[in-house]
Amino acid sequence: MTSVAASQRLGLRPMVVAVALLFVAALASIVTGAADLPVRGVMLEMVGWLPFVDVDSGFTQLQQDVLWQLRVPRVVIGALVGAALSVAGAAYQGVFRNPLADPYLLGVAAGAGLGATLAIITGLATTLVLPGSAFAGALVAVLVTYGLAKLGGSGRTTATLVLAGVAVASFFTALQTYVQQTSSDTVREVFAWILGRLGTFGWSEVGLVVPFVFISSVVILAHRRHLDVLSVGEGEAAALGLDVGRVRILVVLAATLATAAAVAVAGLIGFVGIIVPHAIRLMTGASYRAILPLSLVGGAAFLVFADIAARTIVSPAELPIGVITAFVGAPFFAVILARTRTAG
Amino acid sequence: MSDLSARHVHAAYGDRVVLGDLSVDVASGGSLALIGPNGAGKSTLLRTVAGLVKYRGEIAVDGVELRSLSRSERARLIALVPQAPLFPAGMTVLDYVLLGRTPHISYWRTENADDVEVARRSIAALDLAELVDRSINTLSGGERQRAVLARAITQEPGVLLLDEPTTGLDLGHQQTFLELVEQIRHNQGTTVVSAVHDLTLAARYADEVVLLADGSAAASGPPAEVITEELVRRHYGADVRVLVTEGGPVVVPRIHTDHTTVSTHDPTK
Repeated sequence: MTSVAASQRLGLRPMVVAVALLFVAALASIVTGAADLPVRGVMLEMVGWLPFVDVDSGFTQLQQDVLWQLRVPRVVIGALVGAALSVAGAAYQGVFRNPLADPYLLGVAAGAGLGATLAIITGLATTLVLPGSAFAGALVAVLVTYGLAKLGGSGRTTATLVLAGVAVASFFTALQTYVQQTSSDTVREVFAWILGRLGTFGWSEVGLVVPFVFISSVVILAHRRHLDVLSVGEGEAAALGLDVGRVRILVVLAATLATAAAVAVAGLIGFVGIIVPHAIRLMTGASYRAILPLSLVGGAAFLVFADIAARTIVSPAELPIGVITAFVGAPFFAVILARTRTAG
Repeated sequence: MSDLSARHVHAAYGDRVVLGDLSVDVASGGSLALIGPNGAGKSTLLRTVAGLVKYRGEIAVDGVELRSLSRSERARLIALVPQAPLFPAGMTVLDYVLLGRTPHISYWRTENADDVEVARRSIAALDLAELVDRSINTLSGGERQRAVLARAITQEPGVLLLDEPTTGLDLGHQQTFLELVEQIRHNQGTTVVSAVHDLTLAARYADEVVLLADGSAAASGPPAEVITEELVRRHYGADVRVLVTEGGPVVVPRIHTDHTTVSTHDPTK
């Protein structure tokens, strides 16, 4: 018998493809821009960065600064935000058993946006307050969305949760806009941020996101088996001995934390959490053991690619990256909606 | 190998009382069929024993009250084959059956080789070996129902609850399924409680029958004592002949040529 259980399948081939995609995306992103950085030099710089290796890339000081202080942190932050948003999307889809759940559609991102805006306009946007405030806003949003959907009655369907999410997102966005407009001295700063951007990042922003993305990813990945059990429904999962309430709380908290960290640095970037996990589902099947780790890496690659598009399409100007993800994501959403309908 | 005892059980969905002062006993390794009209509380009793419905009263397995058990302790004792199971699209039969190991795996861990081995044994026992890698939602009705049973026995329960397990299966698959259940009961000593609509099947496969009506036991005992023309008429509103055969009672509807003899009857009233 050659069959192997999901728990023992390594899913190595898709993972290799995803990592390769991320690598290509990172390299392409690094060499894209006004200052010319040849691929060969970049590779040599990377090699030289390894311990005990000393090579001469032939880069000038300016080129080195552009590489290490601008391009690389931008790629890293893009990859972290993409990873966080798509693994959060996959986690929400599993825990709410809803293919359309996504940090953006559930209103979580809007809640985080309001939290972050409040932190910015009050001038309290320190390293810990900004993500903390975004997390608080995001948590309130997801609780309200879930509560509203439950109020929607016993026939809680895919559509009910998304409708509740849309209502919550609109409400939080309205509040956020109000707060932003009433404090005119920071309006430009908030506005640039809210549209989603990855520019002007340095290593300090990277340091801000890394711990949150790391913790939430570990918690979400540790629940890959539970999300598979939950896919037979809450009742059956409970009869199988799963502590559904505990799984829901831990996974929702982790996914919300990941979303808040992403929103706190990069603003509102929609649809990543829906595009990436679904593309992976189409390729590898329904098991969260494959979907979650692949979403993490695939999401990172996707957002780095989206960032290249955002920087080149109207070059030398830059499009907000949220525009790119929405442009790809909205049609994708429509396709998934149609498939959900036909599947009953 | 466990005995099940329910004493004075009450359960309600909101204001609607579904089980009222119900008492049922099943001996270790026994087979009990729950019969009764729609809405009598058969499914609710099974779901209550499986821990999905809150109750007052006492339900004990081997003398241990279920409320004192954790979810996973309970799921190691009791497995439920639900009336309408959900089949996740794209999940393989092996992974589906492996879900039955859930109560045996501690929270932060995943399945080990022993768990996979138990799942494989269940798959082999239910004649699904050549389907292990197939996607569960591509199976036929009979195959799927066997996969659900495989998942349930992978829990290695003492008590197996079957909620109308043969509904939607043709005669051949009904027979295959029920014989597999009997085989499990004999080989592993598992206690079986099933909700059944087909009275002839209930009589054929169970040692004891409980007739539920309005959430309590209207009659109980060996099949021949409970499945009678009089009780079927009173509780189902059905006019039948019960033929006594060596294989137990056989229930046959009477045909009314004048279309007036059967009064409309609502057993929920």
